[in-house]
Amino acid sequence: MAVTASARRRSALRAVTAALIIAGISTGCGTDNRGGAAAADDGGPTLQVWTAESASRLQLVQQRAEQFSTAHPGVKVDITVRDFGSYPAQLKLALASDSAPDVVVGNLGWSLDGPLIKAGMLRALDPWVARYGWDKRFPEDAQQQMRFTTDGKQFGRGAIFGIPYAADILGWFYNVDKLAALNIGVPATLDELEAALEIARRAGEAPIMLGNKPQWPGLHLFYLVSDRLASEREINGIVFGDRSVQWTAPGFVASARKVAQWNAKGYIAPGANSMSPADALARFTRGAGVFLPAGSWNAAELAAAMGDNVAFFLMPPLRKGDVNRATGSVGYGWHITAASRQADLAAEFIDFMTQEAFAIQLTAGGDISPIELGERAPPMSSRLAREIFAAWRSVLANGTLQPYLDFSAPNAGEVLFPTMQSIIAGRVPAQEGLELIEQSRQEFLDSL
Amino acid sequence: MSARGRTALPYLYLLPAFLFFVPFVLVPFAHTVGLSLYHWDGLTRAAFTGFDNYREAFASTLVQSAFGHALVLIFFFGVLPVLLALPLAVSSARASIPGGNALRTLIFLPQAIPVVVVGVSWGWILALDGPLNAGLRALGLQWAAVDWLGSFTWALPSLGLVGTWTLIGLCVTLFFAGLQQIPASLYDAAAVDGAGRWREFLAVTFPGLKGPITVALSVTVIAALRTFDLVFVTTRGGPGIETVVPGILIYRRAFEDGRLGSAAAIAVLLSIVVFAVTFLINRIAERNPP
Repeated sequence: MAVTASARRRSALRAVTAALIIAGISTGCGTDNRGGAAAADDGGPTLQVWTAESASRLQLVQQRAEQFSTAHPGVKVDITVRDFGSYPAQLKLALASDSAPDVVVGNLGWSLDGPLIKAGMLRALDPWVARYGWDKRFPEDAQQQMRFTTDGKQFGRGAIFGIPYAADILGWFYNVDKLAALNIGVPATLDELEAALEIARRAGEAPIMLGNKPQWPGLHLFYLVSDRLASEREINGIVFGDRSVQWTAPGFVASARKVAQWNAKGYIAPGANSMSPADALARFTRGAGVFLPAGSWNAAELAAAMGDNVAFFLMPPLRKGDVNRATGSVGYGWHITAASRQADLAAEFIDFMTQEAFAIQLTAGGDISPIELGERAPPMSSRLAREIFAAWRSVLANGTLQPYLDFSAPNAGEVLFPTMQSIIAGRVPAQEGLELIEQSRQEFLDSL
Repeated sequence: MSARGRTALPYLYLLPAFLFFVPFVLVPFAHTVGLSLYHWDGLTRAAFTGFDNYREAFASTLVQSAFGHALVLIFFFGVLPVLLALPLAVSSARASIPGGNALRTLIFLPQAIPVVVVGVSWGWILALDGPLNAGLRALGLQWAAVDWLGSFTWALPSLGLVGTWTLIGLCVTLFFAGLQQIPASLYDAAAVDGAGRWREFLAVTFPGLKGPITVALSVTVIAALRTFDLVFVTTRGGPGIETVVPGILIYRRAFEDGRLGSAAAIAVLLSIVVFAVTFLINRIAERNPP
């Protein structure tokens, strides 16, 4: 969800900040001093916590943190919130400062966790995993996204470095009325989906609404296809640094070609390359487009605007009834910093923040959680929330969660996103573009 | 006053500016140059790698494209505004148009608007179903209505023209001020000699504007080379890499990818290009004194 959220929340204001930062780029590095955690003035301990959450998730986190303070008299929780876009840079500075926080959220894979672990700034959570039973709280697919070797060089194996509390999954939102008007059923196979796209186009509808200005949404469309055409081994191999797997594998080439083909056939709404995801979503709620390929984090906004006229399905399988693999993540994890002098208290806090009670609060609000709630799930407010929950539940139960391919390297914004946009537009042949992407991945792996 | 005092005095006058210049410009720049010789992720120990970052930058087609795009923007941010502003300033200065001051204020206005607002507004104007395309369609030019900022062909020129729009006012203002400095007697002399409008422009007006033109070109060319905010707000470098400029690469590498050495190397290269181009502009102006 790394990139998704980041681009989503970048505001125009941030551009100004960025410009100022550029102007002052030369003003160097932080200090190397590592300090300890702060203690409250009245003697009781204070946990310094950093997060980049916003909106309803942030509210839930703050609420839960207050409950922690209530349950632990004398303990204060001081939450620092930073804008998602500038969070990584600010967190790195904070962790390198004299007053490093105790508990921080990171971001999966090489987007943030990897560099911090490699720099020795986060702790392996082994001592507490057994004590709190964290390894039994979440399915293995979820745990794997939080694992790193202690040298910070291998993602997806080794110790657990973070504990997740929320989740996301990619799929297809659709306009219920439009599908009915076009006389199309919910596609049960990839072929049926392609047939539906063709019917929608012939009827003069925009089959796929997409806001690809920040370049990652097109990649998410690619993920939906590669979840079908690339193997589990290929996807995990790319993400977790297996050099025997490459971006030029036949499954990825076929996926890229298919998405480019969809674009050439006119399935993707015109103007996608200059449209923001928020804009695309707003248009979709106003009745433009039949399908919206996007992540579950959009559900609350869509349901609020469209009521029961919006629904969700995972990318359908190649053959009817086959198990669905789907790209998704367990969001960000809670981490304990190496600098914290109250690691046990921090672990107690993390445990509290990731318990089933929190998962139920989250799910009730239309979000999804890495805990398999099953029948213990609370009542949900919309048809959309129920469908997404059911889809997520099936993926967890089947163990078919696939990581985002952009977790594989930290420079996705420079090579992976723009190249995929060029491939989709037909400006760069799939094979050639994927070679470029693979070359950049190899360079990153070599630099580890 | 002793001879020694005389030689030291000018430097004494420079001292206040120098005291400001050293910590806020020279030291950070030296720091950036130093940083560009290291591989550093901003977290772990930096590794000295000599000119590795520069070699990589020179070998990278992406970095080459970014500088290429900046050169294209020099035309739109610098050359075009100057060419358009000259006739605007000259005609409005010579003829007393009613409301001429209001007109000049209007032309200057884009300069007073924050770039972020400029970017957001133009993003809306240039959208596929935005006002520009609506106008084109109303004129029966459906074929000309394209997704300007989403087009691999038109995104960079579109951004360039936004820059032209922004900077033309600055040029007009500079030239207008310059025109006031040209003695009226020169125009009288030209008239007496029987010079026509064109002759008068070449013999009196243009030489008289050499200074302001040099300033305008220096300012706008630097604006073109260091563009970041406009691109960040409107296209973020896309579609593909069609509008990636050095500033975008520096930002991404320094603050997103943890490649501070590489970012610093590109920043140093950018500074060198800026120095070279402004030096060239001023050199040409000095060689051809008015």
